[in-house]
Amino acid sequence: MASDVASSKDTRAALREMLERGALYADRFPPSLRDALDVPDPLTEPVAAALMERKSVVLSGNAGDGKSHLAQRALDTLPSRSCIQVTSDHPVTEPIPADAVVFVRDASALTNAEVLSAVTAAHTAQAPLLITINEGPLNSLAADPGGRFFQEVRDVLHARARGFAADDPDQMLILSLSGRQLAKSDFVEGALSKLLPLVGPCSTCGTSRDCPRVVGARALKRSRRARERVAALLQLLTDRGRHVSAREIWLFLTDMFFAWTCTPGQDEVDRAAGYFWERLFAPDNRLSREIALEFDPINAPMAREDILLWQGKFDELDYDQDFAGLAPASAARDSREDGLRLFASAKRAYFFMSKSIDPQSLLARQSLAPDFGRLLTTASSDPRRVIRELVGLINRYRLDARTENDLWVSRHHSMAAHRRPFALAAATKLPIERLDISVPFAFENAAYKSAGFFPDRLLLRWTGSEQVLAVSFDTWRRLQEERSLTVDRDQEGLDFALDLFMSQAPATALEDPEVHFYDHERQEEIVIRLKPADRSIELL
Amino acid sequence: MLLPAPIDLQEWFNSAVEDFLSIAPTSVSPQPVHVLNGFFHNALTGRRMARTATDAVATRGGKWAKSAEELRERPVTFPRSDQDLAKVRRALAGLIATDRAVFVGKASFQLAHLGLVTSDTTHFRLGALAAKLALGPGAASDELAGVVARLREPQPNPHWAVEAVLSEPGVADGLEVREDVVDGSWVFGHSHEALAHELGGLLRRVLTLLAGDADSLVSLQTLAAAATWSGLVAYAQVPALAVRGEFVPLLCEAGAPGELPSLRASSANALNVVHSSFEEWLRVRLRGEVEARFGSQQPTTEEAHTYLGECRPYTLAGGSGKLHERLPSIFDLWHRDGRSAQEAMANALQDGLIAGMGDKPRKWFSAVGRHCGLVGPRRGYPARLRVEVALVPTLVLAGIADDDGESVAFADWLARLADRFGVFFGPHPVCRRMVPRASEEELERNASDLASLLASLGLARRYSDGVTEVLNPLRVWQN
Repeated sequence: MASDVASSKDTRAALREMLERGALYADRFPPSLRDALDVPDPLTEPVAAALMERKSVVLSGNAGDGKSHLAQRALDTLPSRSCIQVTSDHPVTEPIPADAVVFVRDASALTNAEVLSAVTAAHTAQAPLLITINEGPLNSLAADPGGRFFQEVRDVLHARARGFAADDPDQMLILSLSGRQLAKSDFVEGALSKLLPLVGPCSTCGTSRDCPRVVGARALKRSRRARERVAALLQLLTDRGRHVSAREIWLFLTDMFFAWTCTPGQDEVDRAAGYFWERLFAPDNRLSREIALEFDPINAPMAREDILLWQGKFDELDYDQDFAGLAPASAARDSREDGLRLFASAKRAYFFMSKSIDPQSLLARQSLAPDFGRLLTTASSDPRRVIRELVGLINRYRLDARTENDLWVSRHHSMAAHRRPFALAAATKLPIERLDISVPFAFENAAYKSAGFFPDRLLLRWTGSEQVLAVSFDTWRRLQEERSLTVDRDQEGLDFALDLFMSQAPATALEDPEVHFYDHERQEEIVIRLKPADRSIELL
Repeated sequence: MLLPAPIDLQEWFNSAVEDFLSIAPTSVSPQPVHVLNGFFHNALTGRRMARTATDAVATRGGKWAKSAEELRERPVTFPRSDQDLAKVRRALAGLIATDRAVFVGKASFQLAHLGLVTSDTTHFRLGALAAKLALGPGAASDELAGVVARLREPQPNPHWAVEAVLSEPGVADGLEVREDVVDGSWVFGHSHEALAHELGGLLRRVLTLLAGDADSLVSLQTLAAAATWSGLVAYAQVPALAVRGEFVPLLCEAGAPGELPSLRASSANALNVVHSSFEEWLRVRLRGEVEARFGSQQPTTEEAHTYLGECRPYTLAGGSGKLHERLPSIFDLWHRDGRSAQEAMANALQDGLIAGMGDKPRKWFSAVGRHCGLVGPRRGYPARLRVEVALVPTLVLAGIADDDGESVAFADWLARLADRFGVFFGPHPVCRRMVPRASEEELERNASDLASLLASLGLARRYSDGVTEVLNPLRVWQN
């Protein structure tokens, strides 16, 4: 028992030291630290089950997505199986014991020949195989003449990334963690529950419980509401299609506390910058910067609350716990700058702890990301609705037309790269039933419901066409702008993507077409009927 | 000694430079719409008659060049009311003449129907070069015949229908693929065979698209861009291959203009290298001309002065003709520098020629490049090699092989662009030798920007870790 306590203390000390350094590389953690920081992952069980069934498991994804951690956790849960970890120094040797798992941790660290030999050995021995691999090495292995196994894996991964349902091949489990948006799962809450107990005072404060790190962590521990709002801010990024990896979330959360060190003799104004609600928008963390760009509570006008906050009447506001800051108005008498800093701190704290505000509507008032997030969510359950919305946007953008049930096949024939086409015309409109929408990673989302698989974009296509219109957050946002004729590379890109998309429309030539012409310079619509056989042109 | 016939620099430039390159780099700068028209005009036999279309949409001084009454004399039924007719004309102009290339005297329509091909020469040889490349080394006669046949049939776009109404009956039916395209230009010479083959291959792939199931409008736009781009690549690389035996590296910026400063500087200087290589090539060609005329005889200084004085200068608006009077003193400088009399004469003539041209070739390249999306920014400084969206399908097809499947690995595609045309985007040993040198990090980012651009247009698929596959329009664009 005494040794357990000592061990636990050692682990906590080691974790704190690691968090102070920001060295969050799960594959280098000793098992004790891995256990201590482990956030239960719904994917662990299917991976472990597949290994128990002697299947080959391939975990793909970007660096920092948690492939190694997931693999290791799955191995940890296996009852009494030996693990043959293949490295350059320890290539796989036969015979492989019947109960062993052949584990290739990070295929990029091995040569193609070493990986292929490990796969062959595992298959020959009918032993389960576990591989973590990035796309680059996967493509290289798939291109190898002996890489049939990896070709199969790549085809499945790519099909799912494009929104197609592709079942796992026989005796295999394939997962791409790059399709996961962990902020959409319980991961943030889980990570905070591991992290907050480890937060202690900074080196300047020593053992003082007044250190902003400790005060912030205490507030966050007490307020579930605040924890949910931290997660909501991260979801804001994922709603706009930003892939946020597990490592980025860990770094973001640890930076909120461990990247802050008080300066000796600092006053309350300086201390304010150290609370988590301020750290969360600090420019020294990449995710924080992106969140601040997309949404910062201080930019959300709240008439009554702003006055009370400025006056320091915090007890008249509904913080869900005591908020003991200085009154910004008082500080502003000496320094306007200090007053504004305190106001920012109080208002950001209010965003996290207020009982009455609706964070979702507040976010939606400042950012289009939540709306796009809803579109991404809806696309799986009600694709027609999403297609209709997109069709309405495209018709309005291209021809100033207001229909949503048919897509006008709007074209131009300008060939000059240096000038925006001002004239668009359509002779055909096609019903939205001729369009399909693909939702990347929809297969994984359906198969592993609570694991956080979520698309980063939608792919609109004419039925049967391989040419897609990739509807990212930026594309969707631009579709809502007025089409201009000035030099605007973003709009030019959108226009050209739409041109290529329209070119794939299954339209047929009409005998006497009615042409809807829209002049963006004059904002004028002209409809004419053409009769090639009679050589006549009518104005309609 | 008896002096040989003096060189008429104007004449020499026309034959040794413009005829050989099949490019007129001192002309006004054509647009892709001109080049497309020039391509069909040079690649197809048959009549050119587009008077009704010209009368309907040509403008002069901001007004219609032909009155409503004059237009009604044409064999097309237009609305009776002048107000309605004006509206119809605005729509017609918006469909076939938005590139502002239609005037009463010269007209290049935005071709969707081949009945509106004209004999407009505003392409200034670029259309002819593309026709030679496609029908010569590109061996695309069958594909072009397929295009002609296809564009006789109704197409599902409003532009074809409008042009069909405005075309004179029977004109498109009389078009045939020209067979006599061989001439003395670089396209058919041995020393540039590989480049001609690659450019011809690019044009053949575009024509394959156009003749096949792919949308005709977007294929025609791609053909216009590809034909123009081919001319620019020829201007950059034919002289470089002749003088240096290797490509000038064409490092192109793919992302937001100016975001990568070292890449921008390197790309801007690549343009300078293109022009210095062209000028060096002029010097080499002139040296050959002087050698051919003088044989093994070296003139005396006095004879050289006399000869240079008798040579006819090259003069162009914007250039300096005055330098021609100073050719003898320029000769002396070169001669004193240790050059032979013949070499010093060639150098002096080249200096006179460059001064006579002014900055025209540089301006021509930049303007044509801007028109097709190879040079940017549209306004501002410095001019540099870029890729704008309109050029992307051309680039994609430039890096595709005839036997490719649905997709090509991005790295392989980039390598082909470099090997075939000297076009670069990302890290490469050649880019490391460029002065100034773009940083490796910026080259990486530039390649990534290009991959993002392709993906945003639906011409590539990006997977995790930035792994990208370029899609092959020949397989994907099928209606």
